[in-house]
Amino acid sequence: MYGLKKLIWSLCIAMGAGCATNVKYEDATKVETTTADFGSTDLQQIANKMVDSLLSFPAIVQTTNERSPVVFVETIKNKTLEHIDTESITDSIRTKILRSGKFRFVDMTKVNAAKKQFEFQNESGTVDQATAAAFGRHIGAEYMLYGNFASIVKKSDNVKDVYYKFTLNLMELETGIIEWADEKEIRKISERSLFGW
Amino acid sequence: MKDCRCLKKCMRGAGNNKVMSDRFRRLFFIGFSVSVLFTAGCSTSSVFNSYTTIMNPLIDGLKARKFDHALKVLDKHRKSNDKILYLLERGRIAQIKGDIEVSMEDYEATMEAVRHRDEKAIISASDIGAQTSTFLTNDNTIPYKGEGYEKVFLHQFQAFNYLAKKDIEGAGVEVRRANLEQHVALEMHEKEVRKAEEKAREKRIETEQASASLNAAYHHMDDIAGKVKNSFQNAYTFYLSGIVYELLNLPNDAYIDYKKAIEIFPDNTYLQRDVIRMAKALGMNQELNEYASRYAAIRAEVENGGGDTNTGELIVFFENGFVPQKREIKVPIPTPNGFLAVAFPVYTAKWPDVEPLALSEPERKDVLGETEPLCYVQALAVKSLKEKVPGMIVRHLLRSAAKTAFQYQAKDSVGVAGTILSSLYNVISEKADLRSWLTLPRDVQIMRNHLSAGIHHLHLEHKASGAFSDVDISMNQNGKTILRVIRTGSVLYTTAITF
Repeated sequence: MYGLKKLIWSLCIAMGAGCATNVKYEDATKVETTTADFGSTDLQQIANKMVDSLLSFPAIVQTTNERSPVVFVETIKNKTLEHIDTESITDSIRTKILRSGKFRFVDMTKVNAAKKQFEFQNESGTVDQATAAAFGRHIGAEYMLYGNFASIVKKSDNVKDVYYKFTLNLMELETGIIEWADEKEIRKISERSLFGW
Repeated sequence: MKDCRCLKKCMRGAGNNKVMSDRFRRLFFIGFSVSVLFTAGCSTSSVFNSYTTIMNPLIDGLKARKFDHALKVLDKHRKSNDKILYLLERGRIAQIKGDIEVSMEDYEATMEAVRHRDEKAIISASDIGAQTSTFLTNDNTIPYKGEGYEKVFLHQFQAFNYLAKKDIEGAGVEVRRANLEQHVALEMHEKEVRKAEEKAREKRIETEQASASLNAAYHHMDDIAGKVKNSFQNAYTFYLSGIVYELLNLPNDAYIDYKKAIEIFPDNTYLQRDVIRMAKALGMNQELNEYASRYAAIRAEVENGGGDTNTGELIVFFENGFVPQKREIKVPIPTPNGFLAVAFPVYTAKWPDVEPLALSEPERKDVLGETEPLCYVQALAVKSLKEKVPGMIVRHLLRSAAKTAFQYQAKDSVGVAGTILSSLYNVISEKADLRSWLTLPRDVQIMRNHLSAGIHHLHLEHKASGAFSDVDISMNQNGKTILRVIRTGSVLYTTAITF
């Protein structure tokens, strides 16, 4: 009798476990092909290609050997057929470049927040003026990083063909000359399976 | 459900009178299969209960500014076979209500469902199931896929949601999707129509008579269907996409979409002004000359205007009324057992006169103008139904064969009672497919005008329905203000977005 009860209990537990949603950790850089839409692998491929290309470009290597220029990142125009967070792509690129130590960055999206803190430190009267950050000491950016993200999608009954092109440019602000540019192309095809539910 | 139980009981009763046990077993089998079909019908809503009877009370609510009941009712169908359709309605109703978040979510869910359908396996077990049950019931058992023109509107209305949130780039994504949808529909559609026609031709002898009787019934739809080239390309979508491109500062792309719009709808004078203005601004001299000779009066007007620089542009989209609903007609179709009355969907609504919306500014004693038609959704819907006729006839012939076989089987196993029950079943189950997106407007009209920067108090009046409304809008210098007006019954819902 006891054995039977135990068996029923263990069966119940086994079935319960079988029905529960299965969650597991995966390598974040593992190739992801759930759908043909823009995904983590595309983002990583774009970021890696752009950073490698920029840091190995002869003119840039020469400049960055002498000093670490200051750069600001303009938004990437999303011209694709998907709602893609392009800021997330530029964040990845900026982080990688920054960690190489070759460039320094200013963040234009945080100007207002920083300004508020400045005002608090200098005008509120609560902060010791000896420790307050002084106005007018920001370093002006020398370069601007900007680009475009476009796609071409073709669909037929059974096949969907997606082509992405990510272009990134580095412009010297004073002269307006584009010092470096590169593009990353990605093409994915998804086909409907023959049999299924 | 009540009917199901009653039928089952009747059949059991009939069986008890006959003592033979194998007959009883067969009878029980039939009773069981009928009750299963009924249960299926009850749970998937529109199989035995037409879609229009579900939607009409909700649409009446919209005419009286009642939204919450409709949203609640439609929410229950989120997981049904026809979820694409119910979510389209829900997204639209939430949008009319002004609940952008809910509308966005519903449209997003619709897109996901459409995509899931598109990416289904070519030979799908669930599709075969639906196709099989359509032979014993009716077309309503096939899960709703969404018509071409409906999918285009889905993306376009989602673009409006993004615009309302001032996310122009997001709106850009949606208009590009709408354009892709039109493009794909154009390619696939020609193939599909050809395939259906070929299939109908193969069964020519059987379908010929059916087509003849159906064509007579569909004859009055020809005029309306003839107003559009195909069932999915619409100038409204191209026009909105042109405006989004102008807001994104991409005049080249905007010009291309205005050109596509004028190709579909050449009579709209606002569109004529836009192509001339853009051709001039972009230095497209050859095209400018062509347009100028075609629309001479407009050309002169564009040349003379544009002196005042402290102005912005007001763009009015007027979505008028509700698209007509399909009705059921019974068409006699020949079968080996004689003529069988088969239910077909048909549009009976007549072609209405243009009903413009007049805009004025009473404070400044200024008449701003009237809207002009840009898209006849009614014509798109009618055309779309006409394009599906060959496929419908083939399905109906197969179905009537299956139902006749069922009738014979019933007669063999239970005699007269079986025949009566199965004919009763045929009558009940013979329902036309009346499903379509019903909260779409009947037609869409536009107006475009320059107004001085600042606040304006506008008065809107729709003479045909007696609807009127007052709305305050603000204009930015060199900016654009989009005023979207939706008429349901005699109520005008307005949304103004200033850029």
